Amino acid sequence: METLDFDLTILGSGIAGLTAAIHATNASKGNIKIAIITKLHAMRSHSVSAEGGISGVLYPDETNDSTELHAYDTIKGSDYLADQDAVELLVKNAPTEVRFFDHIGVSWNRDDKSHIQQRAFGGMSIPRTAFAADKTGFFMMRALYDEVSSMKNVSIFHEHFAYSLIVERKKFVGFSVIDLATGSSSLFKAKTAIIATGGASRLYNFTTTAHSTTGDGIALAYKAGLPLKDMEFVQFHPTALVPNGILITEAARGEGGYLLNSKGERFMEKYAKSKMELAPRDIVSRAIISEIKAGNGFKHEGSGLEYINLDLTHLGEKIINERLPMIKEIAQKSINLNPVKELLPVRPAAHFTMGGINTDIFGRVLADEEKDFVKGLWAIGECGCVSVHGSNRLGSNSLSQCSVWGRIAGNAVAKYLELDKSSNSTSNELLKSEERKILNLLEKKGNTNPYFIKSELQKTMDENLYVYRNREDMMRARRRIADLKEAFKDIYIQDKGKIFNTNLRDVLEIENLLELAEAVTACAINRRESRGAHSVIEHPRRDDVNWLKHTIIYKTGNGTGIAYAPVRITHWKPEPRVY
Amino acid sequence: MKESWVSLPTIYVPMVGVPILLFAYTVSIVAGFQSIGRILLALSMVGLFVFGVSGFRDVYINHWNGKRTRLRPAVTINKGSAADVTLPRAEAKIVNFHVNRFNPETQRLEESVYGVETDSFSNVLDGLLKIKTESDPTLSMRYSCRMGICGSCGMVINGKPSLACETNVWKNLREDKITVAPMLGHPLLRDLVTDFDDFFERHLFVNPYLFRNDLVEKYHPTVQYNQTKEELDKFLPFSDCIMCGLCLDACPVVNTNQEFIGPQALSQAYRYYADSRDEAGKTRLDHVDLLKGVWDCEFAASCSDVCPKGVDPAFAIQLLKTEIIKNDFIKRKESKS
Amino acid sequence: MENKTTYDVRGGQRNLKRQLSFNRESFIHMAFYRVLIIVSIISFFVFLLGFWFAWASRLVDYLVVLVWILFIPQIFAFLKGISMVGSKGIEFGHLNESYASALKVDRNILFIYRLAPYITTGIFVFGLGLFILGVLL
Repeated sequence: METLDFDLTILGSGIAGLTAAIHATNASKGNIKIAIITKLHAMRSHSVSAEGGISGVLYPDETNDSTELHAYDTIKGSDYLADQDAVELLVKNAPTEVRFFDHIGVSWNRDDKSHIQQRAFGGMSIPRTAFAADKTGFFMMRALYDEVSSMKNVSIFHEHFAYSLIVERKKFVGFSVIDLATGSSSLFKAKTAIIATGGASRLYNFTTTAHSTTGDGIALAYKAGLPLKDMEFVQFHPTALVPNGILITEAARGEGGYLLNSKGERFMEKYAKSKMELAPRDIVSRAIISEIKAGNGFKHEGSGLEYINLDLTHLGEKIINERLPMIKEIAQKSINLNPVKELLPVRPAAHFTMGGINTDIFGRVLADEEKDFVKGLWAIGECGCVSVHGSNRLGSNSLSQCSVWGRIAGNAVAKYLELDKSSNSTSNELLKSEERKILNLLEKKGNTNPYFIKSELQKTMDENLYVYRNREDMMRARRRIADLKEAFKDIYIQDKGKIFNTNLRDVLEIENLLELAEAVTACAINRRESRGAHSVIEHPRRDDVNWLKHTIIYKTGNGTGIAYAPVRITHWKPEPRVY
Repeated sequence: MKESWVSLPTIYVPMVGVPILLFAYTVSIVAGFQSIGRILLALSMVGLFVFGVSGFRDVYINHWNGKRTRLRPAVTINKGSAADVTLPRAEAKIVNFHVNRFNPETQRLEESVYGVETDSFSNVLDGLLKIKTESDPTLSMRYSCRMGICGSCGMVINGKPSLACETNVWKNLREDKITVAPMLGHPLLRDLVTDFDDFFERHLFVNPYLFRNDLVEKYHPTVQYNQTKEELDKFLPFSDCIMCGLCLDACPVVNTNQEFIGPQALSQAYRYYADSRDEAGKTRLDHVDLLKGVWDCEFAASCSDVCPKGVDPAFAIQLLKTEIIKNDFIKRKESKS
Repeated sequence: MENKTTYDVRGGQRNLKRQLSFNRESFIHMAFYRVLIIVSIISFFVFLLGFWFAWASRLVDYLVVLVWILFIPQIFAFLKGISMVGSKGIEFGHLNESYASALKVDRNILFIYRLAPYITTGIFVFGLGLFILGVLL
């Protein structure tokens, strides 16, 4: 096994990872050697699928907006679980980031004054979501990739899969990485690392996310003994296309789309009278499921899924062409419906992992609940839990989060490297044992098809940890996941090839998913209240006395250990969340 | 020397000139002006000669510089079929997938046939994933977002380069089957997976990033750059490129001449050239005014034909050509006055 | 790091036949162009020989017919290119439908761009008929 040396390794090439690379390069004037490790081609990370837009108060005077109001919306949206100092950092820096993306080439939609246009989004009291049609994430990714690939000090390692994170004495050492194209593993040793691998929504089968969104970074940290935070909060996006789960952006409702039940009513009136369809996602998702349970849904012929309708027909072709072209294209290509003329079948699907690796406000990975750091390790974007989203993220805040903390982490790394001149040494035994991990997997002589485990796991999560949860279901899920973990010991990798062995890669992903499923279930069982995206039938109310705190989960010898961290509250005291 | 000064008079002028001369020759012979006709014929023959020699340089000489490897004919190794799969759901149908897999050990395509249960919503990617998870885990391919925006799953389906996730199975059946093959316009790695390093290098050749002089403002922004809707419209469709590599695979020139940097890179050159925020200006034109740049393009328009996002690279290349010509004229006018 | 082992089949003119399965027009355009290049050079030399040998000048006339036929797809593609640039990519282009339908162009004159390549190519083909009837026979 070979060793490669870098100053900074960035795991993941989404918006957060690439932004960090740019700012680390800029802050160090190109003097640090950066490796970006990505299991896909760098420009294909799932950030490309972000549709609606990026939030930021761009023109406070013209729109009567303020960063305080943005912060308040975010905190109320989070059901008061967000750390308020982090939210303030987010809203303060978000406008800068929107402009930064303008400066590197994102084709923002423009208004008549040549300003960047902004649209309404769920839970936001004023339209403050800048957008580039409904492909915002895609345009940001392309601009970032183009910008990064022009930088001489950055090497991008496409299609390299990291299978372990090595931390020694609370200091980052390196990643073991397998190159898919050759099948050889190597150790990427570095003084610092930024984990930016995104969420784990592929725990579910009915999800809006890519096949590659398997939360590998979160699982690596968890397996390395680092704590995760708030894993029970999984966001379900209200409008995912039936039957394939492809995301229909919240912007469709932001532009004026209606949600209709089988009686043709705009049922959101019953659940969020003032915001209607533009209530935060957890509320809309629960409303849809309640309608379906009340028998006001439709049943999809092909898949048997129940759904309600999203009506965009009154928007007119011009608006849809200009602002929602991708929605139109997707609906036509995948289910042969034209949103200009027909209603779209939608239901809630897993979309975002609010929880993640426990970090402080600057994205540094914590080794315990609050104070102790892992030196030289950051976690940003969806895979880190700063926590700005608390128990429920507002739409369009995620892109701001990725770019704001990308910049913070990039600058912090440059500063850290100026001070830290020490170098890591690695033993030969370590290299051997890391290389052995892959060989062991390939040599395994089990009987179980790993894809069977994956589909069973996804089925378990889909059935038992969906929008509404109850204790019995969650306990059943826990048992089932334990069984599947046991079954995983008996898997068989049929593909023994070295070149592009996706069978092996999938097994590594499934192992990660199993770990995370365990963490999500344990956290969900533990939290005995309903807050934001975590809604338990037995405990229908929010309980600020006992549960206004973050869940921290550790991997212990044979199971999980749970601890808590307080929520940092600055200006906004918890109050009832009514829309 | 600029390539436009070579290619324009030797290819594009004769392309229009020779047919006109031949036409005029015919008319004058028919009208009885024999001697004028003979001069016109002589002129058109000289035109043809120039055209032929220049075309020869374009098409054959560059091609000789590249090394040639022949792909041996495909063999069928695994003849499964629909009969292997039993009990479909009522609304489902079994479709035979003929998957041409590249075997790196034997260096040839090997066709395997799988029966796959599909419904009216299934796309080719769903089918391939079903094969991978249920019957043959050794099948290698790229995939990620399954919504046509990441650009991973480019492959040749029924002979046409397409995204697997955007190709509905039932609507694209040919003789009741689906044929899948890797993109031969990229270096092959394994099965349906091709190597993209060469593709990314071509992309980088055109300096695909917004060039700005105000670096402090760029990294620490305070205001947005103003841009009108009209300025946005100039480059908007070309910024939709998802880098899936289908256009390169479809391009007949790229397939026969490895020098040509290809439609994807050139469309991105135009995308940044046409962006009102870019400050590189005309240097972008000079950068692609090469034989292996815009002038190797023969306008087959196959790239645009297969582009899943409507980027229309062929249009972008023709726009680049016209911009280069316009720019030449402006320069010549300026140097005269 | 280990280097990738890849297998590159690009480079040979035989790859052109891949076009046949999805874009026949492009295949004809490409194949005719490649033949035309050779025929052009040969025609020129045969034309020179025509100063000395009578058979050669007779042969030139037949070569002209061949050249004429081979030119048809080239002319058509060339005109399509011009039409496309003139109509901002709407005629003969493959621009994203959402974008193209919202584009500001004078839609009343678009039909000129649509018809021009066909008409001009038609005239050129008519010229071939004229040549065969009036000159060759």
